[in-house]
Amino acid sequence: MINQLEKSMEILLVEDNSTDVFLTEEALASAKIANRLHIVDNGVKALSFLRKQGAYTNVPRPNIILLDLNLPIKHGSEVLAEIKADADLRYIPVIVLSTSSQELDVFKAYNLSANCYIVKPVNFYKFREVLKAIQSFWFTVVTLPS
Amino acid sequence: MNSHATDSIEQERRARIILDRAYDAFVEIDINNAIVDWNTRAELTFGWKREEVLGKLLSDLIVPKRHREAQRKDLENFQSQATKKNTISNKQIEFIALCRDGKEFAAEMTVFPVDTGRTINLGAFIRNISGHKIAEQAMSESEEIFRLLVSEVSDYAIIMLDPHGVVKTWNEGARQIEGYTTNEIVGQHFSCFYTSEDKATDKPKQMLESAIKYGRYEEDGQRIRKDGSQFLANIVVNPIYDRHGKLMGFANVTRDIDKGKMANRHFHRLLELAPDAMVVINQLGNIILVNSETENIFGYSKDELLGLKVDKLIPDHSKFLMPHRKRSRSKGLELYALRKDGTEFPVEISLTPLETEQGLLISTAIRDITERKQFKDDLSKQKELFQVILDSLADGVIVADTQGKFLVINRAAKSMTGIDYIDVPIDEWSEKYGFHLADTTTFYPPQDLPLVRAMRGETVIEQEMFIRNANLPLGAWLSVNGAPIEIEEGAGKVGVIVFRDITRHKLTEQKNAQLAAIVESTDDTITSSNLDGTIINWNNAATRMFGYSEEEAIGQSDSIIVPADRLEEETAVIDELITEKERTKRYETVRETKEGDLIPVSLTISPIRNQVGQVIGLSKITRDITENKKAEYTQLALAEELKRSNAELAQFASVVSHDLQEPLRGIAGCLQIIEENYKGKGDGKVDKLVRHAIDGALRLHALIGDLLSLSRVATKEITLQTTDLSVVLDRVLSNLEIPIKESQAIIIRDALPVLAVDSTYLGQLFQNLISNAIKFRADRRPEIHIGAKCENEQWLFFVKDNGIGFKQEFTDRIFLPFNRLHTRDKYPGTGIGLAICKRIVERHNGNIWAESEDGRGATFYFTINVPKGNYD
Repeated sequence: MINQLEKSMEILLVEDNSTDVFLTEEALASAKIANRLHIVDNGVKALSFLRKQGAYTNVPRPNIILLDLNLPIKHGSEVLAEIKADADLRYIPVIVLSTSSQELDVFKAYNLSANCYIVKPVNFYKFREVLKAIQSFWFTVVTLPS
Repeated sequence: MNSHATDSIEQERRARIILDRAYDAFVEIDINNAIVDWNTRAELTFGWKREEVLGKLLSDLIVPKRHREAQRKDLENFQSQATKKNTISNKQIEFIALCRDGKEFAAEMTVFPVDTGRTINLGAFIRNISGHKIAEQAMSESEEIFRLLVSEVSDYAIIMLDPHGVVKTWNEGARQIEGYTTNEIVGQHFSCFYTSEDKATDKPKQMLESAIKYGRYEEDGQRIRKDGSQFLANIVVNPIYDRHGKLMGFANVTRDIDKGKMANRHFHRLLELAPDAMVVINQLGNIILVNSETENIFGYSKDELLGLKVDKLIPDHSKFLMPHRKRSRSKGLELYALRKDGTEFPVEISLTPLETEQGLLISTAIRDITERKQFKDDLSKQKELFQVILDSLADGVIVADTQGKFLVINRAAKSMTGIDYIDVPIDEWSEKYGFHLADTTTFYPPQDLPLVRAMRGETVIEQEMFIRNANLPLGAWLSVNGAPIEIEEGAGKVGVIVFRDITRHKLTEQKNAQLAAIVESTDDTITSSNLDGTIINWNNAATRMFGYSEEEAIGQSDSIIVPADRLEEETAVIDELITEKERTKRYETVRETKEGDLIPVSLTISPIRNQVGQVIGLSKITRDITENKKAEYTQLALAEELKRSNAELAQFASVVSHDLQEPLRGIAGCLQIIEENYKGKGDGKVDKLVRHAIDGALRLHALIGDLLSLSRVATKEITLQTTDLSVVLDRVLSNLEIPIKESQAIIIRDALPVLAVDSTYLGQLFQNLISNAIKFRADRRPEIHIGAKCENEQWLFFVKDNGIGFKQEFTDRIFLPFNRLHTRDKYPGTGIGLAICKRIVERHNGNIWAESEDGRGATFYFTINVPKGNYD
């Protein structure tokens, strides 16, 4: 457990809403999930980060991506499509976090090879549970490529 | 020639010698009484020489002056009679002769005609009869012979009477017939032979007077015999004069004729008088009596006919004779007869049986009817021809006399009127034959019927009547002409009607009138034109639509209402219509009004064909579709609007789900962080405020979610798929497994059908209703019954519970969104569930409603239409 904590997972959160960023940071902290959280507030920045371009030449490669769909400049689904089309990036798990529970949005995300789709719970406690579940599943249960 | 002349001279010489040696005087006179010959004895008797008398008048020469005129007349009479007929024999004339010396003597002259080849002269031997002896002797001799002859005659009573009627002689016949002997009767008056009645009327005397007056008297009458018995006699009475013209008495010849003989005589007389050939035959068929007419008709003589079989004359005679043997007469048999020369001719015979002593005889009157027959044949031929002509006429002909008797009703008349019996009084004609006025229901007043008017002498022209009777149940229209006709002068008039069936014409007329009325009254523009485009019909609607009046339009080219850019289109359509033999073409185009306005129209063009199928014109129905077009545009706009609004709504849903939820999450999240980190660390009131704020945020979140669901039901396409609703119910019950278990609800489920529905929505529908049933349960254990039945091509579903129910007055309100009957604390929820149910049912073209009583459970019903063929 300590090993894993020390491992210090790199998480890229793509989210433009600062309240959501705050709530995510709070939830992760209160859940005592060891991580290094990198935050970008639009899709273009997200892709630059992943390709270590521009301001992001010295950033680590994230182990997991939390992607909001409702993004300015470049929509979340476009970002998803580009990641999955990029042979270098496609194996990084992308967890879509969205306020939309519409079937069409869900279907579209999986169609673009999202690794999972999660409707953000309004209830903060439930949100924290979801993040815990993500941590335990993706960081302890599954084996990801190094 | 020469020898003839010689012979003739020789003959005359001999005659002269004979004449001159003759014992009597001989004279010859011509038609003027002039003497042309005078023999030697005449010279001796009268004292005149031949040379002296030739050319002198005989009467002047040898008759005393006092007798001269009478004697000359006698001779002239005789001479004129002799001239008329050659057969006259001699005549003796006694007269007083005069000699040259003035002496007179009684002479007798025997006169005879002498034909000279040119005229008739008279020859006369004159003898002096004053020397009586010789003459008287000769007389008594001949008298004796005559008397003997008469006395021996037995068939006739020959009686000599004196001028007063006293019987002088009596013969054998008189004795046999009358019964008297000569001695008994001679000297009696002949009136003793007469009946007392005859005597009373002085008949015997009248009889004798008649005999004197007429020279002869004959009668058939009753006579009395000596024994007093009567008999029928034929009596002839002749007066007898002496040589001086004095009445000497009467010769009375009487013959006994019995009844049969008398009838026979009458019969014979009648036979001869009859205009027909009369043939009497016996039972063997042999002719025993005929009259002269029979000879004329058949060409046989009487002798040939008697004894001949009647069959020779009339081959079929016996055939017709047989049935009439029994004394009945039969008249008017028409047969053929044979003449002696073998030719045939038609006869009419009448048979009369005669009972006679010889047995039954048949008297046959035979009349040659060749002419009558010919006439009759001609007449019947003419009649036949007349009938054939009448029957071959297409027009009906009825002729009736003034009593209303039908004299003629031809075949066409019978079939046209259906009249099959004709003995109906005039007053009942209309009723019995079904004659109606033009209104087809009122019986024709009998006195106004064309036939009756014609019989009255009126002329009727093209009178229309309607006839309907048992033989013509559908009725027929007739056009009737009538006129009186005078068949025979003075025989009165008859009525003739000639009529034809105009039903088809009438129906066409009615149909045309109806069509014309329809055409005029319709709102559709109906026009027609001939093939070159000239307008020939233009109805009111056309005037309203195009602005041209009927007068303006008719005769014009129909291109006046076709915009220039549509002319080609029209021509193409018409060509297609004619060549492809289609019934109609309909297309949308544009027409131009008189004012130049363009109207969008729907145009239906039909070809007008003549009887042989040639297209002779076009009819056009033009409908103004301006309004349709407007509506069409509106509809399109609406659809567009709907699409847009649906898209907006979808956009709205998306906005709600993302943009409305995000800040709500922030509010709720922050409040919950405060609650977690600072609970119990300050004023207790803060904790309470934070709690309410979080509740509000979460409820707002739920409301937004339900609203989203509702809008989604309204906007999302539904997909109908054949769905087993039992499977859908399975899924729903498994979704609700936990609340069912917790509430210990009893679920009763009937079999559900397989229907074409949206399975997701139907699932949501059932889930909402069942979870409501659990949620609004009463204190008792919940019992939920789900079922369905088919009614009127609809499936009726129900979900029945035993929960708290609701007041019936709220039954409509509960289906409105966000309507709640209970506090949130007692029964949580947003109040959107039944609104969603309502939407789902409506999107399946069904209805949803609920029945309940407060506290006694509720039943929710909904219907789903059965699309045909989707359920089996």
